Amino acid sequence: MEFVDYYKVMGLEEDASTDEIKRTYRKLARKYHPDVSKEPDSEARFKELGEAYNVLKDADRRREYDELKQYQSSGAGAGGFRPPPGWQSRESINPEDFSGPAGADYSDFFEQIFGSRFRQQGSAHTEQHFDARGQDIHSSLPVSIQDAFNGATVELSLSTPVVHHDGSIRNEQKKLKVKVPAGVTNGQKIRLRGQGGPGVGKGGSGDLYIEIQIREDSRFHLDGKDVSVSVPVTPWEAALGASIDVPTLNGTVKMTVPANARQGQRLRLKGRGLPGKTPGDQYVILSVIVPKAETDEQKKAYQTMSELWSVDPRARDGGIS
Amino acid sequence: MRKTSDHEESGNDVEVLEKDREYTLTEVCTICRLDENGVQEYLDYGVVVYESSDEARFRQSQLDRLLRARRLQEDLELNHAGVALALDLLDTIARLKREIALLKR
Repeated sequence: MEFVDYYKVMGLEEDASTDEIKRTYRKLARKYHPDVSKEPDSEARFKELGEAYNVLKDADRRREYDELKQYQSSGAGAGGFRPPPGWQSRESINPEDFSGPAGADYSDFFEQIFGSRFRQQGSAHTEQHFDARGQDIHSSLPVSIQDAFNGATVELSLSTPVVHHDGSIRNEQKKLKVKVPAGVTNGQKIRLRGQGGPGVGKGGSGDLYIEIQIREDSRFHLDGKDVSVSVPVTPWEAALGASIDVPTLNGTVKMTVPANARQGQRLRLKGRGLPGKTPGDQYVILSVIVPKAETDEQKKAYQTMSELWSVDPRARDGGIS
Repeated sequence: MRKTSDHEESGNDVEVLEKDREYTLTEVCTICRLDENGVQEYLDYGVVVYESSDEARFRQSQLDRLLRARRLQEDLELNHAGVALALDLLDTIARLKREIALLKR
């Protein structure tokens, strides 16, 4: 087990005042709150922060932690941290008292130091016997746009509460294979029954809710079930019309570019978006590229064009005459 | 006790939740652990809105918003006005980010 430096987590000096700790926590909590931050590790960061604050804000708990920290830095913790023999926290954590991410979601390190008493309290409860349904777990799952189109089995690792022999509930990493149905959209929620937290007594397990997050793709962009893709065309293809190959999520298809197509024009391929009861469409956005004039002949061709058209693109009306 | 293995198949019990599912006031109260007055306060501050028909119905997006508001309030010690402002600003940021992404293409 790694020793967690709570001062480092909060970016504080070891002699920081209680006020300073409180101020820093509030500031960092705003920054790393998973509902605010879009950083992928914000959830873990926020949890760690809550734990650090929970220990450092309380003078007694902090004193105990400082003692352990000193013990650790005296070299006793080589090859991972273990509390001194016979270590028993004088402080117990009251879950009510825990300001930070909701729920009893502590790291192993925290459990080891402050968890023992809390666990005893927990098992005392179960002796009274009651049934309760396990908690629902909410998680998100990043999938590629291709997997959203075809449907796929994607591995999700999540931290889920597990009941141990002694009646304690601790979080464990679990890997779950999730069947993602074809045609899911970004932000869509799916539910896996019974894959949430374990129930108590006769209470069944909670459910697992997963929010699908479709990853950005370099070619395909999504808007609901519609897909858009930018396709380069030459000026003569745009002017004369052409049959061109365009990529879709289901492979390359032929598409007709109408004559006198414009830069940025959107053409629709019906039903080529994400599948579903009403499948989405694919929009092809034409991007006219300007070939370089390199040889004398090419330069001459551009010269001829300049004589054939009298276009002033800087004119207020766009200058197309 | 539940055995944890490295892999568990989710099997066929995957249920795709309707995006436009609606919830009654009672359902919202249960899920958010609030009483009716509690929900009403969020309505008063414009944190959430409901579909006006003969009965108050909350869309999925509004329920998600309320849950988010509750988490933010608890974790960041915000009052109703503060969380209403925070959510509005987060919406604005998300919209601007989408626009920037579009323009960058």
